[in-house]
Amino acid sequence: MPNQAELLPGTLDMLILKAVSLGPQHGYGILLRIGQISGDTLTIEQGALYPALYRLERQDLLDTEWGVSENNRRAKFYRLTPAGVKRLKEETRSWNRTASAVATALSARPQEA
Amino acid sequence: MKSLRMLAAGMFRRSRMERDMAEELAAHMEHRADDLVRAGCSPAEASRRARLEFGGVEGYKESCREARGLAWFDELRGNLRYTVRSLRASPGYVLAAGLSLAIGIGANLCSFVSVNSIMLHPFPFAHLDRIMLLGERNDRVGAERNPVAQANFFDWKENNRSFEILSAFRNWDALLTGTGEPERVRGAHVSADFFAALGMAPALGRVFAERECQPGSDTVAVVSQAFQKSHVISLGQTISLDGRPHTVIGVMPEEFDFPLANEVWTPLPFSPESKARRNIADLAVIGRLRAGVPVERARAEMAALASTLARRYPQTNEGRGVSVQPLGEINDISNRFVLIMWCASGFVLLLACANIGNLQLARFTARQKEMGLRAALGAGRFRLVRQLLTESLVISAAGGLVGLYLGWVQLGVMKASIPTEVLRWVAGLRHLEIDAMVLVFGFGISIAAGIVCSLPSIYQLLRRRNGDGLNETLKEAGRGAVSSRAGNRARTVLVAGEVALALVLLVGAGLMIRTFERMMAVNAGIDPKGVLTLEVTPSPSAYRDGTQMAQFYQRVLTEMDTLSGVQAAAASGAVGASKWEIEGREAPLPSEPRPDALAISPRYFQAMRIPMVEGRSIAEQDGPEATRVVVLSETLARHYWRNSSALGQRVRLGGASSPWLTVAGVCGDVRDWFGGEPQPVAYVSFRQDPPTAVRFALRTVRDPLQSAGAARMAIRRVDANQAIYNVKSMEQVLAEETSGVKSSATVMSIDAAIALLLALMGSYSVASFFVAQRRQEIGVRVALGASPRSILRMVLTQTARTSAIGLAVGLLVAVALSAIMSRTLFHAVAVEPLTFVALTAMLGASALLAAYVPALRAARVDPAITLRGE
Repeated sequence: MPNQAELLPGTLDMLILKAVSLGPQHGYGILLRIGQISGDTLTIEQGALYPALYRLERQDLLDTEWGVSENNRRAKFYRLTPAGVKRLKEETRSWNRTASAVATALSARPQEA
Repeated sequence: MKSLRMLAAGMFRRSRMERDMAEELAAHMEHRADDLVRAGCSPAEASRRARLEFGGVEGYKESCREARGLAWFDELRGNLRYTVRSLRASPGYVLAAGLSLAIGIGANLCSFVSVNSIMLHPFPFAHLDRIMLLGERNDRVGAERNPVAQANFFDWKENNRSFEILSAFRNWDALLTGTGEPERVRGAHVSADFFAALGMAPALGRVFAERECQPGSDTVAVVSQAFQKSHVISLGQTISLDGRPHTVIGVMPEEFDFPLANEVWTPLPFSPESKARRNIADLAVIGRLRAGVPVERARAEMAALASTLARRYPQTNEGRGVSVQPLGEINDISNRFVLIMWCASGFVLLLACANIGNLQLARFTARQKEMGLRAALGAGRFRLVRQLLTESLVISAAGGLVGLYLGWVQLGVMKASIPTEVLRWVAGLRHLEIDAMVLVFGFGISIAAGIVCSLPSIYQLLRRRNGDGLNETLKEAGRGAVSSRAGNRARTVLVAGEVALALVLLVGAGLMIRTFERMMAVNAGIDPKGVLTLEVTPSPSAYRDGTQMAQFYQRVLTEMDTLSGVQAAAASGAVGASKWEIEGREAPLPSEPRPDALAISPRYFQAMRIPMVEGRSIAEQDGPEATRVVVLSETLARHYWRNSSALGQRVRLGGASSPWLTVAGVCGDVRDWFGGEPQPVAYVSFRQDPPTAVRFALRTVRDPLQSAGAARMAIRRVDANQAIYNVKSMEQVLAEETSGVKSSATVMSIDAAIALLLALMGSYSVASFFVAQRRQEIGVRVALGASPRSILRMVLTQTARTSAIGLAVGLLVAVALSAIMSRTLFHAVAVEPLTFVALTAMLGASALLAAYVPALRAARVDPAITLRGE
């Protein structure tokens, strides 16, 4: 998997929130969706997803409900709470700021230093 | 809020949440398998791969539980269940550890009760930190807390801004008559705002009004609840105090008896003349600081006030300062004893912890395989740490409960051993009880002890690198004992520490015992055996002047001399000695000894068996008209007349108006029981300077207490209206005076005995462990021809080395601490090198002896068996 990027620490929560913000989804679906929206660049170890989900639920950022999946299987669906929506916005803003700052820094040429 | 709800849900519907979690993870794998089937896998292969891809389900579940925030609860339940199971498997360990903790905690609780009631809450007053005791300070002599002259008191009262209330009182031995036998009660004359200054209100009735503090209208009294009960007194009733009727207007609450063991309070009348007096100091003063005023500011203000007064009235106030001392700190001497006892019991607990730490370390080593296995199954290191802590805390909680009981028993024994008279002297001593504060303290030290005990094992656990994991641990455990060189070092340090602590305690106890012995054996200068004492304070209304008092004493002595079994009857009483002046010499320096003056009857020296050194004793001829004479104690005489005789010299014990006294004799020294210091005393004739209160002393042939009844009767025959109090044998008096040291010596000996036992247990267990650990090595050595003796020597050398380190450290600490102890207790403690040497040798020898049994076991190792066992 040469094309796959390392997940930066702290970004998993953000990606989960983003994936759930596109519509309520169960764990496996969230995993697939993250792969999908990142153009299959970012993959997450399957089991590692769940502790993160439980943590976000405990922080009141996610809400859960049991339902039936597209495969006709019983599954637990996650959805963003208002606090989750807010957090996602904040995280996105701060990520963009950091990312552009880093990008600017990395594109610096010798004479500018 | 939500997490709270989840917590509740977790506690009561834990199994449902577990099921949910399992179902959710299973659903994930099924979805994945569905995808794989769609991609062309066989269903069986698909579900196998789905499971593989997912990873360690149990590990993730554990992380989920942690993330959910309920992990600690589940874990605690698990740990507790596990702890109970593992402790049940080793009852010997539980018993040894629990019991030594219980003993340590019990000792600590008991000493903390003293700290709590004597040091922290000596008085029941709210805002005790704002209540100050004020006195005049004589800067020339360096004396603090002297009585205050009334004019000065009123100047202080009017001109200070630090105190909300300044109030005066004066102790008073009142003679109570008309309620059966005449009786002496402890009384105090107090100004009207006295109770307000202490923040106390009466339980019944009222306290004094300002107008009642005038001469003539002061015939009202407030009584203590104890007094009201024992004398069955109701409000409005009249009692006769010193021959004057007083109406009881109030009863104070049960806990109030200030100043110490007081029974009756009456108004302190100020007359215009007395209020103007600056040369007679007769008041004790208490003050209540305004809220927020620090003691230092009050001291500075009072000092400034004193120097203003000194400038204005140089004749009386020159060199006079003001001492301001928080009332809560007056138990100074007792506090020092209490603190030393507390330290000793703290050491015992520390020792118990070291011992249990050691036992736990041995258990830990034996359980390495189990720990490794649990680590391999996904238990993090900190989870194992928590497991160790849980085990330790379960034991210390049990130890704490048993300790509470032991402390309660110990407290009962201690309370029973305090002479009742001493209860009156030391504020707070009557209220030695286990209260909420003590319980909180007990809970705290139990937890702390539990944590401290598990520290060595936790240290061991954390030392190991994270990467070691399963293989390393299992391998180590397989290799048996070789694993832990670090473990051995920890054990050695612990045992050396135990030996050091034990030595410190032993030396402390040894010094206390020697001090007590010395106090009892000190050549006090008198012979207390066979002496009965009784005290009488003739009421001023019946005996108006000194001549009448002296006649009363003389008549009583004549009566007493006729009693059978009495060899000598004598009387003595303190008389004022405000100055000390020798005819024809400069005034003595402040550092030179000044005598107290004691007025005595002719046969006093005989009754007390104080020897005459030169000259004669006070005699019958020294009546009021004869030349005034004095007998000086030996050290005093020798200080001022180094190379000559004091006989015939003249001295003065008061100001210019007091008479010159001719030295008629020099007698042996009487020593202070506490420090063994010779007391400078000037004895005068009781007929030339009659005291206002006397103590009769009868030297009897048999048990002095048998003569008590007859002696009382003798006094009654002369005057039935005087109260007789403190009827005791001299030995009883002595026992009371030395009871603080005695109980300290007892407590410290018990502490030291426990310490010794614990240290020996430690020494034994480490030697045993050492032998068990090196069984194979010893086997090989024996097989290669080592003699049992050399094996014995090897084990004992190991122990000796550890003990030697402990003894060296302990000795250093003990020397330092005993110097501190001696200084804190006014150099009363006998620091004797012999005590140190003897105890060090004793402890070293015992430690070796404790190691001897395991060493013998080592020497008997059969190489054939040990080597085959491998």
